[in-house]
Amino acid sequence: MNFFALFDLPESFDIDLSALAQRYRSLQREYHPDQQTAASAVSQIDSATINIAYDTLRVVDKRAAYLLSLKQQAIALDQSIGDIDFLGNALEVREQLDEANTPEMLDSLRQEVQQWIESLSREFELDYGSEDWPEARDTCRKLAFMRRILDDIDATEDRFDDLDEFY
Amino acid sequence: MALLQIAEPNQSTAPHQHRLAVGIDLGTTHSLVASVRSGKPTILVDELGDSLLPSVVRYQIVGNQDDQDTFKTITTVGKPALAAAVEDPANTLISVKRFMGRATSDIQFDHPYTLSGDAEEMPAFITAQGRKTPIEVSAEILKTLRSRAEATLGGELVGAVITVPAYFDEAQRQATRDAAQLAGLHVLRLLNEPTAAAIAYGLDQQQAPDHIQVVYDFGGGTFDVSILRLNRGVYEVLATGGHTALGGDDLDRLIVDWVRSALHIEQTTPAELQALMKSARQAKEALSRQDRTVFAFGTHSVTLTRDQFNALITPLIDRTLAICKRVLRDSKHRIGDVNAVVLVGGSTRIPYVRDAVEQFFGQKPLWTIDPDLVVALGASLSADQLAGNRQDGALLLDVTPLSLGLETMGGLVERLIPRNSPIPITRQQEFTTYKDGQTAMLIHVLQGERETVAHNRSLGRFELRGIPPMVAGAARIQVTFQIDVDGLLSVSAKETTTGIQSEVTIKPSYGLSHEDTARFLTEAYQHAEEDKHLRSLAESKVEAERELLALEQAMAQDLSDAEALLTTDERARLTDAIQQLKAVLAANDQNAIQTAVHALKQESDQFAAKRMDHHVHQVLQGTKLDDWAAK
Repeated sequence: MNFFALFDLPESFDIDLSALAQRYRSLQREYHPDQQTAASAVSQIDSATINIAYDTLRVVDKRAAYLLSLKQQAIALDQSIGDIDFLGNALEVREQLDEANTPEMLDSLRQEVQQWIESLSREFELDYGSEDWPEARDTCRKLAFMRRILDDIDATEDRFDDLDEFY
Repeated sequence: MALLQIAEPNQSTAPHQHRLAVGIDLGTTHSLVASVRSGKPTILVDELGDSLLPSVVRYQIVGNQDDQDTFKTITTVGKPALAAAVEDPANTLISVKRFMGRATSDIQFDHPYTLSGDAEEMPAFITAQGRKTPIEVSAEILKTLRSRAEATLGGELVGAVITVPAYFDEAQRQATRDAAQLAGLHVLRLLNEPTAAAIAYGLDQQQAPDHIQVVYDFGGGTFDVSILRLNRGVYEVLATGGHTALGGDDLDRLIVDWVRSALHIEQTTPAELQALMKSARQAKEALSRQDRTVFAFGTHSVTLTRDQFNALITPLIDRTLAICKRVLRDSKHRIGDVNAVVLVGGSTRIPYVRDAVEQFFGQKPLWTIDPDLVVALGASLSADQLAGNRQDGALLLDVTPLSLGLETMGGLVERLIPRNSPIPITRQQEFTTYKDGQTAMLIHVLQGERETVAHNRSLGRFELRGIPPMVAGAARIQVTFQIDVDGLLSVSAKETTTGIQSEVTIKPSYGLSHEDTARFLTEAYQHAEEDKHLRSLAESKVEAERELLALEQAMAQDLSDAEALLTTDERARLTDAIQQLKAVLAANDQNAIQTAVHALKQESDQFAAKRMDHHVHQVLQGTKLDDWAAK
């Protein structure tokens, strides 16, 4: 099943996120276990698949990886990033995160990482459009790296709020 | 139009057969049941008109345990049980929800109960009636609500939606489900409390598309906050968070601690502790209406002002706000995006709580629906829909509150399903063998947010056996984790090269103790045992009565005979034994009956022997042989 087709979206990196969210709700209206009708019971589509597909298309690096997999190009995406300059910058961001000790510092770091993600997204679109697969793969890895940093920023802020004890 | 909906109770509303379904709010301090009647969600009241059932069960015994006639067990639920809390603290179980699905080692607050169970097991309360697990106690509350509903609605229920705190973990949800089953309720859904409240509010709300709503749910024992996006009847939970041991009870405890130090109370008996807790609750409630209150304990008293109270509870309220912050972050929204904040749960009646929430979100929160009733009302709407009474209802898209992961090398956790993932969800993970010829593999499932195994909740370990021996890394084991719409987990594993399947349903490793599991099974047969006992008792009685009748006839005849066989002394002893047997026959004690029969037999055997001699003598004196041969 092609996730883009499921959500009535063109198979491209730049998608309409509000259309995605809207289509998500109408798909769940039809296929959620609470809404089971005779027709949906025999369907191949289930609620859990819709949830996975939604997550895959919504999160930029997952969407990029999925597009590569549709082109049979999602090879070795978990390998390390080849771009030495990027790695230098990434290391710096990591250090900044380790040193951040106020919510304000985290917020500015968050904005910085978000800008990284935006410019990497533009880069991926170009790589993907020109079918430069090795470059596209490397950009996809960078996107995933930056998203993990965003998650770590949130986790650090959780600790600031003293929520890190045994849940 | 309303007239058309009037129908006799018990009468089917065919052609649209209305299926009776209820929503139940199984709360820490009180529980409620609601149902949709004539299209409107309605709280069902008891015969006294009360809607709130105190979540309290008292296990009492009366009479002497050795005396079948007087011995009785009495189990009371609700108000009468609550009234006995101070007088009988050990057998009156309050706030049992805080023990549901918890291990003994998790119970770190003051309580007057005697608990039994290993550190890693769900404890049982030791009561006058013996061991009672939190599941059984909750089942008593659910049974009471079930009969209230069946009496009011006039028929058997097809099922119930039971609400749980959104932040309940796997074990707590499972325990709630088990309690419902024990109470004979078919669970249509375990529904998260804030989501239920959102449904109740959704009914009379005009929403713009993408309406962002925060539900701040501060109850008797738990705190939850959920952020939802509402779109034309679709309730999409974006993120949820909370604390399962943070509620009104904890505020009461803060007051108790304060009073203890103010009045220099060092030690308290369980009864005193319950009395203090009760007064603390009353003081807290009074301070929602007035500026100060006098706290009395025994001969001492102390004044508690609202400002003092606010200062006492500030750390806890700050904690709820910190949780709100995190949940907002998880929802990828900012405070400015929030369209409405609704207040749920009794603790939101405290003015300081309302002010703190208003200040944090920068807008006046809503409490247009009674914060004590709103969860049950929402649950009843969901139950009505799930029972099939309406098609046009809301669609709820909820999330899993805690991350799910697996143990990896070095005691670390690999996250498989992050918190706030929409449910139902299925995730697959592939594993391989690390040794040549390895035929089994251990998978340890964990729930929680921390990096290390020790800091997460262990849900269970399971072993996948029968992997065909291959070189290390050749076997492909696919493990599937599935969280259903109730938020419950199941795990299955498959070796993909040969297709060996191993299905496992997660049973939390700190579930019931073996002792309680065994007792559950025994009690299932208890009624059969009781029947057997009654039958054997009846048989003993009939036999004893038949014997008494024969003996008394013989004695009467002996007395009327010219030459009595019994001496006066013998007759007196026999009469005495007869009286004793008659006395115990009135009671239902099989042992006592058997003892009295035995005592009587020693006396009557002598009499029987004398009679036999006498008969033989008469025969030898020339009576016809036939006379006695026929006897």
